[in-house]
Amino acid sequence: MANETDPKMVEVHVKRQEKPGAPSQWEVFRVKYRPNLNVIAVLQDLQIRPVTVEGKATTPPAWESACLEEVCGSCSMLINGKPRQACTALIDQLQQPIRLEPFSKFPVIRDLIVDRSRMFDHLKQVRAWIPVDGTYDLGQGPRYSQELALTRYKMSECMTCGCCLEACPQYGTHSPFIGPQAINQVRLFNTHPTGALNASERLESVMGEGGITDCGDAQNCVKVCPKKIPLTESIAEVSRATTLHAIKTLVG
Amino acid sequence: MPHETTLDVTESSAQIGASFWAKKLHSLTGVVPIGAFLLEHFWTNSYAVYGPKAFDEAVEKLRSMPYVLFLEVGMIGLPILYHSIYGIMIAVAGRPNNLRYHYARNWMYVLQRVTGVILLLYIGLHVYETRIESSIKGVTVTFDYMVKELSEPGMFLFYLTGILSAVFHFANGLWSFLIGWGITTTEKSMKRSAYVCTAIGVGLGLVGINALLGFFGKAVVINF
Ligand code: HEM
Repeated sequence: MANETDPKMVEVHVKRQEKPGAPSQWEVFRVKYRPNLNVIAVLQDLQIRPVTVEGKATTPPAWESACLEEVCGSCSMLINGKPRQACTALIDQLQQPIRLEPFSKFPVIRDLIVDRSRMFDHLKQVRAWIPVDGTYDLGQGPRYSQELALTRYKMSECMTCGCCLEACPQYGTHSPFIGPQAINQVRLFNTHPTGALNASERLESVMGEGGITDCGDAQNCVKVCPKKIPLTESIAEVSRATTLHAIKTLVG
Repeated sequence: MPHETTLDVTESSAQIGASFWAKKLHSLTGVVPIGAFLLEHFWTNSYAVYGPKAFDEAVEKLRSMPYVLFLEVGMIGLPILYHSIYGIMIAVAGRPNNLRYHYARNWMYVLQRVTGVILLLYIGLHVYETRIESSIKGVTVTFDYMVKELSEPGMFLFYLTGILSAVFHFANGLWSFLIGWGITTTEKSMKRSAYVCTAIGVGLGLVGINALLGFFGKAVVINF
């Protein structure tokens, strides 16, 4: 959407924070409009000419990005208040002024860059891998159906971007909740025939403090997921599996 | 819990934590016995639509059940106490974000918590007035006792709020329960159960309001 005051310019408000723990403040910039601009391109323009609308020279806003095709998740930020990737946020489709903020559920490193390592710790906690490394060739794994392959493919599209966690009212620095992304990985690896050899361990990794039962069913996760991963189905499937696992330990 | 990243296949690293069982118990108590009691409670109170005699007889029948005190404490009192204390802990642990994310389910999330807190206040006063105060004074709770109670200023609205909060909390809680126990696991089945729970909620709401109106002689009596 064009800027109403000047259609040839794009107005962008960036929430700035110099370093971890420092106070934050907004800075307003205008960059020249071109068709098909995305938020990354606007940030690159600011890198070239970091001058606010008041004409004050400032430091260029810092952000992270890598793939530029919405598969790595690193340029995730709040754009007009919604968690998404800057690379696929097209200026022509955004209400102006455009507001860019870092995610609120992770510690800010600088400007739009946050420390997302908690998500990766959670991937380790749920053992989001299949342990087949060894000293000899184990041969081919079991085959599985095309149907299962398609279901698993959808789950595997998670890029650990953190949008689901940003939108979850149960997730944050205040809470031990592990969140939808890691729970989806439990399902992804437990539905793999070889991964299923470690199914109990993965289930039990989300059956403690901050585990699956901390989900509050607000279901924002599935609404904001840029990959449209059926996160609520994954949570429900893992709920089913953990419930059965718990009952088995009671009576078995 | 240590999250060491060993690749050992046979070692079982974790265990089922106490918080898992605690939350499962919270969830279960919401449906049985508390939810089941809610249904029974609405049922008995519905005798009020037939007037004083029918209501007083229904209450007397309940009161003369064997082991009624144990049932009251064990099947209603303690479960509600547990569900409430744990429920408050859950409610204060959340960070509602409804102003940013306007999705319908997100409103249900916050309403589940708000109605829980309303219910805590409502049940507290309701139990005091109809069970504790009357026992201390040695009077039996009858239709007329309730009429007097309900005609005090603000009491009608207080009861209406309590009834509707309980109905929403139970119906929406049932929907959540079905997910939490892995009974509905697909988006389709969650949608289907949402229709069923809405129907239960609307039906129960009408029954509850009708019973309340019964104490004012204004209930709708449908019989053939
Ligand atoms: C009429 C009395 C009540 C009934 C029938 C009832 C029933 C339920 C049910 C069926 C659930 C769903 C459980 C699940 O998620 O699996 C639930 C959840 C909940 N209840 Fe109650 N409850 C009652 C009173 C209360 C009270 C007094 C509180 C106190 C604050 C409370 C707080 C909560 C909370 C916070 C949840 C949400 C749990 C979550 O989503 O993780 N409830 N209740």
